Amino acid sequence: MRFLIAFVCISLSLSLAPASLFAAETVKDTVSKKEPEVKVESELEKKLRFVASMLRCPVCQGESVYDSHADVAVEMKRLIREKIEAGETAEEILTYFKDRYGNFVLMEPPAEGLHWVIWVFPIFMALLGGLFLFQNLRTGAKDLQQTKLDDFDGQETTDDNSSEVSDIKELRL
Amino acid sequence: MTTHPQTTKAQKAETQKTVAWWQFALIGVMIMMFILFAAGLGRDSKFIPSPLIGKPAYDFNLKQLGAEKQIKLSDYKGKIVVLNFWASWCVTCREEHHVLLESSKAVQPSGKVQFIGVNSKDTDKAAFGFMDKRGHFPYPSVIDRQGRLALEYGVYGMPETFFINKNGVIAAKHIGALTHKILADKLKQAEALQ
Repeated sequence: MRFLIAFVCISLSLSLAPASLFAAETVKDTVSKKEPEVKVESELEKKLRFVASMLRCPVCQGESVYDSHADVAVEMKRLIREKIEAGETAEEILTYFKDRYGNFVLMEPPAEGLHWVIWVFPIFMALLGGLFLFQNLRTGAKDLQQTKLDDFDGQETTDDNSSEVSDIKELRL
Repeated sequence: MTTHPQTTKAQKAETQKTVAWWQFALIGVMIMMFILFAAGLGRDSKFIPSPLIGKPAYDFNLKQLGAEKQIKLSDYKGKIVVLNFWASWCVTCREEHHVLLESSKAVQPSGKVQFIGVNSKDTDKAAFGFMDKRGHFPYPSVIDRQGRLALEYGVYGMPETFFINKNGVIAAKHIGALTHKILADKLKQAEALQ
């Protein structure tokens, strides 16, 4: 009986093995078939994505030119593509838009003028909070230590009027 | 209970002093934030200062709407130019239409001011349909089919109006519908800027 079960198991696994191999092959085939379909982003597209992602769509709230489908954003993308094709650098293109729309058009406002506040403020607050926490923990630990010392001293001193100590004293006597 | 009353008192005083210092700092920061938010609430969120104010206006040379003629901005040097971006699909443009018609009729005859429209991202047919319905501008408009001139002037949305002084420098800008008062104020600004 055992031999029969073993035989069935082995034969089943053997019969399934080619199927799994075949399955693996078909997966491989579909992958290799799909490969040419995957679009390879051209250098131009990469550069366009880089520049357009750094610019804010003027008519949308907090959306980049790259992500936006608004008319202005579409036209801006077209202009950026033309400028890249003309050989302009990313910085030159960003400056072009900054000169016309102001710092508002940049997704990340530069840390200049009053803008430095928004960059420094979170760091300042984190430092302040950290110091506050540190100071509180330290004084808290000190207090705890002092309380323990006090308790210890209290148990040792004979002239203490705490009921617990006097109870012990009574027991001793 | 306590055997070192003096030390503990001194320590407590020290702790209180430190806490007071931090509390002051935090309260100070909160007041600062409150003032900032309060100031922000009072501001018009749509107002974005243009970096083009005080800079020479971009000199365009575009085809006139409904005419076989080119219009060049620099041809109007010596006059204050009111450059109005409009489109037939722009709803707010309908609001300011009568202001543009009335004020241009009143101001232009003096010869000191020239109005120019920029029909942006529109078709000739739709633009004429708009004017046929609401009244034709008593001044020329140029065709900015793709909206490139709008980008060149850093236009956010229509309508937007630029006030260019007689030397070709952008003196002021208005986003949104014009009123008679706004137009008069901006014209004064353009006149004052040398």
